[in-house]
Amino acid sequence: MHRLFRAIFLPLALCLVCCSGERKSAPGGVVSLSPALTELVCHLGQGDRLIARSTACDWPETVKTLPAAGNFAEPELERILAMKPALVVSNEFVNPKDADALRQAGIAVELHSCDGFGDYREWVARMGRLLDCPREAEAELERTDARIAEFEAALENSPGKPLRALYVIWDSPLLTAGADSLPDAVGRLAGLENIVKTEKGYPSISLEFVLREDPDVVIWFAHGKDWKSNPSWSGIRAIRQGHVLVPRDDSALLRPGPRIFDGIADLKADLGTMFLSGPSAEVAAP
Amino acid sequence: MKAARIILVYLAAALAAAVCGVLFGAARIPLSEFVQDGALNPIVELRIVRTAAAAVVGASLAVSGLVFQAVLRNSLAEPYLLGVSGGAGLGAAGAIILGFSAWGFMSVPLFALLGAVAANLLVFAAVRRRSAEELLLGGVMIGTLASSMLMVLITFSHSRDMAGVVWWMLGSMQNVDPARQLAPAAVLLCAATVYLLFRAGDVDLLTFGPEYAWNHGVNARLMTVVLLALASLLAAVTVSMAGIIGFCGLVVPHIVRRLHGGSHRRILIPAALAGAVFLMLADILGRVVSPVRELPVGMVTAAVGCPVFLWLLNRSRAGS
Repeated sequence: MHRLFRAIFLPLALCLVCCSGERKSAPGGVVSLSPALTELVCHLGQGDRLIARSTACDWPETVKTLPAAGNFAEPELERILAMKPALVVSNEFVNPKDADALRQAGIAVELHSCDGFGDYREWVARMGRLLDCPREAEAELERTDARIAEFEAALENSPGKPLRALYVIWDSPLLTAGADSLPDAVGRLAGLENIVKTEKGYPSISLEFVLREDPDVVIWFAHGKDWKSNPSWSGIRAIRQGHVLVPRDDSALLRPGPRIFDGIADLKADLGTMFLSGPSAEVAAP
Repeated sequence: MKAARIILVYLAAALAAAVCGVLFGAARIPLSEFVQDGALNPIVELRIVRTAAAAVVGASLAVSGLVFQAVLRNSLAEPYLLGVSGGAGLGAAGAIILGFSAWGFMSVPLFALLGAVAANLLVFAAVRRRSAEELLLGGVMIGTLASSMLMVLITFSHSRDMAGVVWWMLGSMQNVDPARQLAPAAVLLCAATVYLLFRAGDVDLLTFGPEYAWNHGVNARLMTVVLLALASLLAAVTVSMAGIIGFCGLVVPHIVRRLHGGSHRRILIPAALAGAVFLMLADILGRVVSPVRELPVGMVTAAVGCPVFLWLLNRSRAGS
């Protein structure tokens, strides 16, 4: 009887323990393939539930210790399936069929674009539900509304016209931020007016259009590229006058995440310094 | 029509296109604002540079195409044979994706030029007998290999890099440096044109085949290599300057040859001027049709060149 017990029940019991252990690790395991969502998960105090990130996720510093499960919006399916997460979040997938493959394996996939503050609010509320942290999400929503109201009040009280800005996302071809883009929304709160009004998204625009629009300031997001080496740029008045502003941390401004309001405050401060101290006061990245 | 009169007609057309290139663009500028405070309006300055660039690139591609079609005796030959476009594209994409573009504005064109020349040398080294047909096949093979490698690079690239590579593949006159790119390309074009005018008789003989040329005292093999190298260099320099612009080098020599016969001494300068006119007009169209985004000039040349060419082809068939 004792032998029978050892032969049948012990392996069965071990198997049950193993299976239940596996099931225990699945709930709560979150893979984020978007840097902004990774920041949001950590900001809501749920960073310990992240089990993998995208190669682009680099803030807060602690997430760098997590394994990468793909590039931004490009999941590595086999690696994710092996991790058995409960949830995969991203703004979009380069190949939409990847989401079906993950869902078929029983993994929840949440995809939603995030191009402005409305989308950000939507993601905060959604994360509150998905990660079961409604209070933290509610607090973040209140903070978001308060910061937006603060910037808008400052705009209403500021005298004079907003500065006309060109957002350079990439220099060759000249990729800029269009009318409904995140940099456009961010710049508006910082007191800037985008010179690109008719085009949406991130269009490639002509240099002649820029010369015609004659922006007051160029916000340089083309990290690692040098505007001084391209002679075509010298025709732009803002460039000649040195009114080129390289944001202190462009990831804070280009990611629709919790740091975005600090990024806007820095941008406002740098613009103030540039235009108070007069021409050629270039604000360089530290 | 006499040769001099033909050249005058094309020269007038080129001048008219150049004037239009300076007058029309994304912005409407009154003539009174062309000069402001004693200095040229920056928009006008930009237009002058890009119109001149379009003229030099168009003429170079047309001359290059004329030589390729004559020497290879193939009506489908074009300046990007012998791996020029594939090599240049790979060089440019490599510079953009691997981060060399951060070295400065000229790094991408330089890498494109290196890629084009390297692909060209590879074709010449790989094809030992250097007959026209074998060089043609070698060029297609090396071009295909380079294109495949380019696709691999694009697959692993960042979306912003990809935009840069795609822009490069479609061609643009927007970022041509007048001193470091346009002036050397113009000098090369002039030197090549003068040399080809002197050797126009040899080119004519080569169109009947290497044996025929040899029997008439031309070192056919050497001449073939020299002419193909010169035509490839012209194409490589234009690619490094303005990206890959298709159709101009294929269509323009065809049209000029159909209109004015096969004597290269007679059609060389008209072909160069027609190429310049074609690309200047394509560039204007790209600027005017879509003022903010600007259509890539390579797209315009294909969209305009293809129907015009087919119409001419059908018209000449109906006539015969």
